[in-house]
Amino acid sequence: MNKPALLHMDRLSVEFRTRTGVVKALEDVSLRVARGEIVGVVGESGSGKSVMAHAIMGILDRAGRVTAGSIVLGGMDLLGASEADLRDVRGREVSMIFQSPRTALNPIRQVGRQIEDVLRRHAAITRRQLPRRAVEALSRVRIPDPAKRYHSYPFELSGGLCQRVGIATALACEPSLLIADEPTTGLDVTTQATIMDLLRELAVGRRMATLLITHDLHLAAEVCDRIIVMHAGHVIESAPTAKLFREPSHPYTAKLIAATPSGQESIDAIAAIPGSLPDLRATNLPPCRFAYRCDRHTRTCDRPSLTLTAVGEGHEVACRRPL
Amino acid sequence: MSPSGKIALVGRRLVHAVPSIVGVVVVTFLLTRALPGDPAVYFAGVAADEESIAEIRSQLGLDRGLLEQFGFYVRDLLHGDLGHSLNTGRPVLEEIAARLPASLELTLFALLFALGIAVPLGVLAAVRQDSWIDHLCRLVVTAGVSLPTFFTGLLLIYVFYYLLGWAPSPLGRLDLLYVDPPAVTGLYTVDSLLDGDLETFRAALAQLILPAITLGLFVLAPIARMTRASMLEALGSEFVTTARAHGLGRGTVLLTYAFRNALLPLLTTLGMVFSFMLGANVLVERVFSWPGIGSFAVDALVASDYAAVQGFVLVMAVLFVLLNLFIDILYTLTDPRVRLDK
Amino acid sequence: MSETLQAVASPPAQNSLRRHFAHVMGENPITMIALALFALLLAVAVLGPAIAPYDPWASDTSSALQPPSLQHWFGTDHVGRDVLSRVIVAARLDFGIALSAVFLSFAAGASLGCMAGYYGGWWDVAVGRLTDTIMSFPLFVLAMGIVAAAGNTVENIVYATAIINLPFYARVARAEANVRRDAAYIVAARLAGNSDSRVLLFHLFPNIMPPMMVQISLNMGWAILNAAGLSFIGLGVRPPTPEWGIMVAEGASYIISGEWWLALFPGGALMLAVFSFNLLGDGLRDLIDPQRRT
Repeated sequence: MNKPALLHMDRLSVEFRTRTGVVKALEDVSLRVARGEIVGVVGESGSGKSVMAHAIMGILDRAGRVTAGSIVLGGMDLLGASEADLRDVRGREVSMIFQSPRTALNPIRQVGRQIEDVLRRHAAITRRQLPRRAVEALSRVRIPDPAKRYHSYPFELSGGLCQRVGIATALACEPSLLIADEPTTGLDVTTQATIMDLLRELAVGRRMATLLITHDLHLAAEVCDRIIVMHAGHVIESAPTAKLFREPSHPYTAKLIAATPSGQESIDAIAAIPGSLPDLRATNLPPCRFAYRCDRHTRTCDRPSLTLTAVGEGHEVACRRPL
Repeated sequence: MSPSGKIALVGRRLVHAVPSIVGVVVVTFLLTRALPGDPAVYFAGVAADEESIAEIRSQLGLDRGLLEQFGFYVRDLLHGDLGHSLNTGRPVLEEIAARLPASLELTLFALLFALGIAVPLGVLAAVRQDSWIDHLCRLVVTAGVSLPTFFTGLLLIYVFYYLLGWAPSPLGRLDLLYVDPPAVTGLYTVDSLLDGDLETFRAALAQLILPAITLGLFVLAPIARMTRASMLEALGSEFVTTARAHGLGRGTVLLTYAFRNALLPLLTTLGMVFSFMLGANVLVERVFSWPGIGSFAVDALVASDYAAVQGFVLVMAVLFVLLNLFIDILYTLTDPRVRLDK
Repeated sequence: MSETLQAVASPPAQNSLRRHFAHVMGENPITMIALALFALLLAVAVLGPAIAPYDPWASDTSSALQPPSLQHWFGTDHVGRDVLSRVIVAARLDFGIALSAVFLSFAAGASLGCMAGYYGGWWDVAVGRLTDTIMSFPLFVLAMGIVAAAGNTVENIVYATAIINLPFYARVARAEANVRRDAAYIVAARLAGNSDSRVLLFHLFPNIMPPMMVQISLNMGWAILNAAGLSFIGLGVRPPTPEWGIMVAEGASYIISGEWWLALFPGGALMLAVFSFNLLGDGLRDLIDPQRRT
């Protein structure tokens, strides 16, 4: 990787204390995102993608704690920062858009005013300018009749419009990193396409580093420069998009690609990945958490200290028996 | 939503209140007709002779059919005629109207006290989960619903009047030394302030403190519980997480985002709170000899003054329906999501 | 079977009711205390006169208004009666009133609610109207009105308290019946040829008992408070009958002049009883339906 990294996550581990045990949600997760780069993070539900996003933003659930690793954004140590410093950074340097757009908005507050709240907090503009800037933000995400929409409440807007508002709010202060956590999951297919187009256009236009989290591999393929594959709290493969699809190295990646319908296969041709995610509360988890679902599993796979190793230009994989 | 849309919704709410009023009128009517024996005897009183009993009977139409009687009853109500009190001979409505401000003053201060303590307590308990304030809140809630109002009142009198001597003698609204302020609202505290009479104001306030706290303590628990619960829900919701993710200040997240949303369920709880309050009012007035409609009712009960009791029940119920209506309307106006097609 | 996009870890093994019970109890020592307290009060109520040291009705004006002492643990009242004995004996009456009222309320409310939820239609409207009408009144005031109209007796206190509590049971029963009406076992029972009343009585009713039990215990405390409140203002029970409400009323005038024991002990007993019922209700609710916790 020749571009300098804006976001540098190094060996991050996150745990959750629950009534039934400690869930090791993330273990040794490392990734980098450079300015202007769109990186996709893909994996099944429960692979830890959202946890990672929340960890970067510092908005982990009460029961969660970072047990190891570091997250550095533009030279600033996010994990060591005070809550007050983090509040300055959130919304201004790094922003997030969420999965269900309507519930991510305050239901009893006009959307324009919600954008103003963010502007008021971070942007150095006078109160008089706030409404105009809010309307500008709405128009930048192609919301029709933005001046009127300013006064709308979330329940009056469609899912697609709500997500545009979400994007407008996140980008209002022009952050250098945008984290999009399953931004199109709750939307219909047509709307998905338009939202993704919008995101890509904005990301490229502003040279914004973007982290796109999704379980939809083909969506990631269309938009991302690089893709990181996660499984059960581990990063198991990381490669430029084209390379990942041409030559997946990790057995899980291959199965994931095979399992994701691209609209051309018949239903029968879609191969299922056997088994389910391991119980992350277990104390005897194997080094490779895919081991018991993998048909290439041998004794060598159970050797400890499994790390990402390079298998090509910008291509890393965490596997003892890569394809 | 357009103003005319909101007016339509408010109109809807008003219409919904009508069946409640009808129900209340019917029930209060049936209550007195359910008296064992001859109702006329009860209404005429113990000291009445045959003639006055007969007179009462024809006056109230008790010799007619039930439906006709109901007709008379409603007609009388519409004329503001709730009968006459046996004790004083004055019209019941007049008696109640004279005493209503005293009860209103008590209830108002009690509510302010309760809200002033319960809401911050509930909010803090939700914000600082598992802290000492959270445990205090839970203790208050559990203990609070177990307190018999009349007992707490007596305890407070014992501690603050007898033992400590801080509170004045619990004998009504104003010590005999003072003159009632000129009546504008009927609330002694407000009226004395309007009159510029600080001495009377302080005296009236002093008499008000213990009964208001007693009544307020009773409703403290449900309000605190509801505030904590709805605050917790608001704080756990996605839009609050989003607000935090945008780096919004703690105050903004807490008040503009979480609290405003938590207020709405709290508002609906107030209806139930009023039900408790109007009932507990009677007990508190009895303990503190507060000359409101509650003690009027108790005196009427003791004297078997049925017209007065019936009038009391009717007025309290109508008041309750109106209070609920008010809350309903307030909710309709403040929640932008309330729409006509609901 | 597509496990590809299935969620996280395998669910924990289903706990037996007993283990869950022990878990909740262990987590909630308070519930254990409440249960113990309740058992104690129940014992006092049942044993009543048998454990009272003195005759609760025996007055002895020479030893009136004596503060608590070794001879009279709770002191004596204004006519020389032993307060402890009266408090003990009063437990039976107060419990009796509350239990009868709650039982009546539950029986009537649950039946009406069940039918409303199960049949829907006309039943639903009628029961809805009834509960709405009752709830249009401030409940204590309605109880006052009922007792005033029907006559100032203990039975009427029970009936009045039962009536004002009816809506709570009716609403819960209606909701539960509505939810279960199309459940597999109900439909099966109907198809097996059972008449509607049999289905209601033997299949539906037993199944809504758990949430109803929670309602009952939560309601008991309030029923006692109501009954005591009514007797405090002079309705229902009359002196010299020992009952916590009127004992507090009698003690009211004395507490102002410093003789606190006449009112404090019956009031304290009342508080304790209501408190233990409420705690018990909370504990039961945590056990049976933890999601409704507030």
